[in-house]
Amino acid sequence: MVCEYCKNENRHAFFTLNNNIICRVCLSYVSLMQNNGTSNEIQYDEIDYKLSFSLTDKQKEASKNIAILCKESDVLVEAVCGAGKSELVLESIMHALKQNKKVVWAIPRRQVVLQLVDRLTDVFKNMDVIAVCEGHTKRVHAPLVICTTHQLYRYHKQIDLLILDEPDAFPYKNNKLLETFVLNAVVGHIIYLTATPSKQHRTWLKQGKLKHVTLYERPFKNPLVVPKVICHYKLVLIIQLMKLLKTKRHQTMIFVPSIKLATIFSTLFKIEMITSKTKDKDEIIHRFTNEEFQFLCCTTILERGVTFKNVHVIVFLANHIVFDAASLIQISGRVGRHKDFPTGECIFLCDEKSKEVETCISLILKANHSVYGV
Amino acid sequence: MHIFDLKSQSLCLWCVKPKYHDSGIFDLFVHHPYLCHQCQKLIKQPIKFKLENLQCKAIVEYSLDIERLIYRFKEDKDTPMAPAFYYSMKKTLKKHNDWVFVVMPSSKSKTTQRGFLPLELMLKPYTSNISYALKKTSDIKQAKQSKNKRKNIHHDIVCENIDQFKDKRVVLIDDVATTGSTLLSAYHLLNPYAKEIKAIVFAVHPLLVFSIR
Repeated sequence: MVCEYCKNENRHAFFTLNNNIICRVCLSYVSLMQNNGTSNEIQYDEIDYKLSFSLTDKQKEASKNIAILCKESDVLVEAVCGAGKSELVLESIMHALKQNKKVVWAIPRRQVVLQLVDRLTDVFKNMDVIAVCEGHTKRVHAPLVICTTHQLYRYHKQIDLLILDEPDAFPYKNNKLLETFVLNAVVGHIIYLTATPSKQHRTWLKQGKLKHVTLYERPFKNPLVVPKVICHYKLVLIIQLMKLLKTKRHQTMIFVPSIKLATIFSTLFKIEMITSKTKDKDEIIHRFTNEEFQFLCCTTILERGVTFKNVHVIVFLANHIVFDAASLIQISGRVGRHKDFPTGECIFLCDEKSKEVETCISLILKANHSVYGV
Repeated sequence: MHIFDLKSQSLCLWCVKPKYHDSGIFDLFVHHPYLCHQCQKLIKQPIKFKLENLQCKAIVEYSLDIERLIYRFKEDKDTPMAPAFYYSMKKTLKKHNDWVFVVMPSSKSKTTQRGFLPLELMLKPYTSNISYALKKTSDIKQAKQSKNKRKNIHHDIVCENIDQFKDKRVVLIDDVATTGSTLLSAYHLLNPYAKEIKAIVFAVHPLLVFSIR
């Protein structure tokens, strides 16, 4: 027996209630889904988007390629952090909406959903863009829906074009239930946006299941920031961190591997922190964006998707198992994302050599070399 | 280890993950027929408290995890979860085998909507002496009432054929005690007739225990 919604095959997870066979793995999602309804069909002829800046030639080319390729098959967009992945798919979205197709943009993390909604509301001025995530579920249908991957159960067999942003991020990564939600929701094609494609994506590329579009150049043509590695005993690293915090003049994010450590550093250094347990995350991020305070201690929750104007990064215990190469690349990608501040500093504090750190640095150097020859 | 790779491994009744996921070597010596070791950690020592003269026992303290569990069981109708709720009390329930277990009433509309009686499913594996004599006369949902209004529940609870409890020993059963108002009104209703009354609930709100102590 296989569940229609989550593809679960474990016979212990099924039971019968009022002559219906029910799967316990996806039961709470399915019961919500049944009260969900479907979207109203509205024709959008005059839809258009306006960016506050112009795309580079390479971005325009990639954007056109994606718009053509996504009509026929799934597309993997591989672009370095800060290359403007989000802007590359706007044209594809516009084409799909003009053909009255259902478009959804799914991201594993709630924080990123909320930030992206603000950005896209500015871009699609005449259109209704809504967020569907924890705390924002009153409306689930709109011309353009930005949602977390957990919310995709609401769109069973409804999505013609799905933009799956950061499929290599927690909690989507290696989560079979969420992967099944994606497969169940999409009747058309998927555009995967990532800076660090997974092994699965590479295999699909080799098998020809995915079309590949790459962009290794950032719009303001500066190379990616290469992290500096400082390797020492833990105690020395803490002293090093204290020194850095004293001397830094820029806004700095301090990434730590665990919530416990974030709490300790936050109390010790009297700085703000964000972890998955923090209640007022949105407010803290808003204040950090407005440069109301200088240091923010966080876990991997802010490793991707968020953009701050002029931020530097320190990763404490970058060799920790929590930080894999993909996650370290994303973290270093937080630096130099704004055209007025294209450079910055990224420091990895390690107490041991780590393969993941080495892979991260070699991949960044490779990406820089392929575009700028540096 | 993932559920999808294990087509026939038995699952934890509460979290629906394989029963031995995230288990340490010592956990393997502790057997629980229904729950994984992570969910077992939710159940600690029983909590004893007194509402006026009513002796009460609770299995767990009410928390967000417990709220989700009960919601999943009652509103998402995940009925297979039921036997795990009172499992840790099975010895106590067996000791009271000759007592009458009176379950706290749900409103008629809610029962029809659910299609099952949650407390009946929770208790059934451990006792057959269950009484449904208490009835709710209105459809007001106790969980949505303010603290003061909850105390008025005694207007809405009646007992059918109350003489059946004459000289009987009674255990009042409820899933959650938030202010204790429902248990107290049942206690006041049955006290003149019954020989002895106790209460066993699955979860008690920490504020209730705190306010009594």
